[in-house]
Amino acid sequence: MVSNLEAELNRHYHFSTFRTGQKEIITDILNGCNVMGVLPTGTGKSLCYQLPARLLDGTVIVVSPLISLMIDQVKELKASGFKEVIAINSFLKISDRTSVLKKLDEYKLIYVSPEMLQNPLFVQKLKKIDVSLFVVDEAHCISQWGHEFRPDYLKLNNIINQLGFPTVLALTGTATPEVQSDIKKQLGCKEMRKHIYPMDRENIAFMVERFNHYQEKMDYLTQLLKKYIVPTMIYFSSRNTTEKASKQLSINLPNHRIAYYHGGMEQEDRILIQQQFMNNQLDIICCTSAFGMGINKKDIRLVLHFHLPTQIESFIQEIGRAGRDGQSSLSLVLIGPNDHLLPKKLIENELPNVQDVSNLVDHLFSRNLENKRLILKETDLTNLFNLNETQWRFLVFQFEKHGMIKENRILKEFADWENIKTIINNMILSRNKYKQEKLSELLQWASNDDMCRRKTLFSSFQNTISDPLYGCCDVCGFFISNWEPLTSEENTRLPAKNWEETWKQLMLQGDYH
Amino acid sequence: MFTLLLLDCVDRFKGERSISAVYHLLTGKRSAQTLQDAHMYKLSHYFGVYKSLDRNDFRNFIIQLRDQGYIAGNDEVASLTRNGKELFHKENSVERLKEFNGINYNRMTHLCIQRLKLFVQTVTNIEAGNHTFIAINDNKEIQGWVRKLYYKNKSDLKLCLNRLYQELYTFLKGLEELEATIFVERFTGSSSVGLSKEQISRRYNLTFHDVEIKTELINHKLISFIIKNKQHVPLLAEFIEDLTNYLFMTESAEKSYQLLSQGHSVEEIAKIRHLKVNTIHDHLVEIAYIDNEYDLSKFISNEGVEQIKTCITNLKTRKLKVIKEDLQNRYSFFQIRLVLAIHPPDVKEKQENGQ
Repeated sequence: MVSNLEAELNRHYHFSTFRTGQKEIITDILNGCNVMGVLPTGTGKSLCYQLPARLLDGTVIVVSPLISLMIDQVKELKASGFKEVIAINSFLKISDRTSVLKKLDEYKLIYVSPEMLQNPLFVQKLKKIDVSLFVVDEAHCISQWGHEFRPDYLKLNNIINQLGFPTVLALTGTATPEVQSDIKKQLGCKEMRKHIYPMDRENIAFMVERFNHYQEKMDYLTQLLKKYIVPTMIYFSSRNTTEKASKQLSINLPNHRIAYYHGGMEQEDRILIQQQFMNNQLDIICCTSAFGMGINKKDIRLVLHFHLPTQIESFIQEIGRAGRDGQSSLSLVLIGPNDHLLPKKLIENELPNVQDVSNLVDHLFSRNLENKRLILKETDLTNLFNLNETQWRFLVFQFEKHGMIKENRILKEFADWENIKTIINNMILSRNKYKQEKLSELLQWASNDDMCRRKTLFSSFQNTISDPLYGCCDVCGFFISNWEPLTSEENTRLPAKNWEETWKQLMLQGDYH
Repeated sequence: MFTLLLLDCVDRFKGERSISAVYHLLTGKRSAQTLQDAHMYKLSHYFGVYKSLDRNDFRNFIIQLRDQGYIAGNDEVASLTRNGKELFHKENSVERLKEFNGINYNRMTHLCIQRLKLFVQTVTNIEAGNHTFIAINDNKEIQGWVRKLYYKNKSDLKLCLNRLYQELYTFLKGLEELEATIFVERFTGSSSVGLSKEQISRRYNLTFHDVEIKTELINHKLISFIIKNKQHVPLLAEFIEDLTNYLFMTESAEKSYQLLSQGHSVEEIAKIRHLKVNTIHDHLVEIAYIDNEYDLSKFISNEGVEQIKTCITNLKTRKLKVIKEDLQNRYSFFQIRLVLAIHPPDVKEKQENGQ
């Protein structure tokens, strides 16, 4: 057993002290206790399993739904000299995957997507290696009440079972008490030590401003950003708006370096923009929620919401990217009269609608009469019924759960055709209703100008709120005119150079070295 | 520039090919028809120069050219108007566009430039004492290749960097000012991250299509520069060394294919080209991989195709010997390879899913 954790931390990470919660969680893990850790984003959750991965005999498995995040972490670990790590997911080429599976026991840390764990062959391989710790990252995804429910997560307890009950670590950034107890139940852990840390951030002030239309928001934004040239993120709810706004702002703010980022961009450009922002070559990034996963920039001062996300949990996650260095930062929400419509639509499109379910089940029923042992083919059916991937995964999960299919085949004995429609449709209705309620909760938070925004935002997650360091919220008397964020010195813009100079400097030639 | 390129295509097709043929040409569709078109209409230098072109974007652009009065006709029969012709000649387009070499370079430009960018990022970072940086390229193949070259030069990185600087500087000197600027600004070094295509387009007031086309043209110029000056740019030559072999094999395969389409038998082609029959077989298999509508009937009966396909499915293997023996040596290796090329089995995929 490791006696001095600080020494190990220093050896591997060159830090002398742990951040809040890390040591307690790691100690419990090393003692073989199951742990639930609720730590706010940006406080070093991943260290809670990365350090044990170096210390424990055997392999640590991390289930994570965020493929880009896992790829980034593997890159970072490899860059830091920890080579026995791998991310196994659908992006790994088949040929690479085969060679990786052959030497699975050589890895100390394996990141997997939940989809990969649906592959029986892969699980067989995992069973052959010594798994010392099973980590469920973003554990709130297991709960139907969480903000990002993923049906695949419900099968994790079966995997844990098959692996012979290794130590389990469930991690999440946000979980209400009801989600916490759901996580414990769904993972099938009898005992679980809870380490819950508050997620309010004492260095972030809150503000909500209301506007009548898009252009009014843009004008306000332009005036505001003219005054503050600090690392800024602006969240939008659609890819198109990030591009449109970024163009408009670039024209109005010629001294700022502005770019947009969304999931529809080419991979190379995505990496470049992300790295530019990290490297202080950009001041403002107009983005969708796709940006920020795994971003570890410490000096983001301003997180603006041009549009709100669909619930408080996502909002907290997004503003949590501000001020990770502890310096004064600001969350500013811009509300327009129709801002609730888009998230409402997003919610409705997440699950299939009643008609889709009915049509699909009828179709399968008639096909099944013609062909016993019918196999469900994803592409055929999603095209025929115009379903997206999430909708399809949801339906397959429901079909399995209610005994209609197994391994994509319709079971011979299944006869409950009418009933299953009703069950699934009720499920969809109640999920949508729940999500609409979550949306209203966030909208209400933004429209309540009588109570402290900080207190109301975190009230369902924690009982007490620490005193703000630099300012509380617009309700409690914070004015943006008094905001004095730290501006970095190096933020000076060099005049444009000709290509010969740029090339010389880039290639470290002559005086530039 | 994209406009000029499209005008050139439309003009050379002389209204004998539909507008879609232009799209297939630019995106490099590997079908016999597109390849044949490229040769017949002397457009092979544009083959595959804009692989990421979106079909709708393309369509909209064509409509725009029509609205601007540069092209006339419909999607089936189109030609240049007088305005179109004038614009094309006014811009000295022939001169500027002739440096494309799509048919020969389209498969190597991407790899070459990605290797170069990642290599520069790697060497400059390490030379600057920064050993932990996030690679701008995720592709394992490219990373592996760069790693090899890095280790080869590890003992004197400084020298390696100076050489690369010089070799590329010579190349850049031969470009237009704007081209050199765009090329350089896309690179990531130890202290600055390269610009995205969109940023280039805004900074230099170019349309998105023009950035794509210009970038591709610069890449083609780079490759022909390297090939022409091999002895003087030995380091750059390493970036395409393994790619040119591939290239010439393909050209050779194409020659065999042309002779075949003129009605020569395999034996005759071998004689004409002074090559072995087996080599010609290799070419035909290579073409079969590219062209899915390839007609096999000259070489194997339909029944044979079916038998081999069934055998491959049953045995879940691509091993030629196993297949050949299972079919009691009724078919030659060549025949089995052709069927494999046209109907590639997804053996690995099936095993992965555990079905």
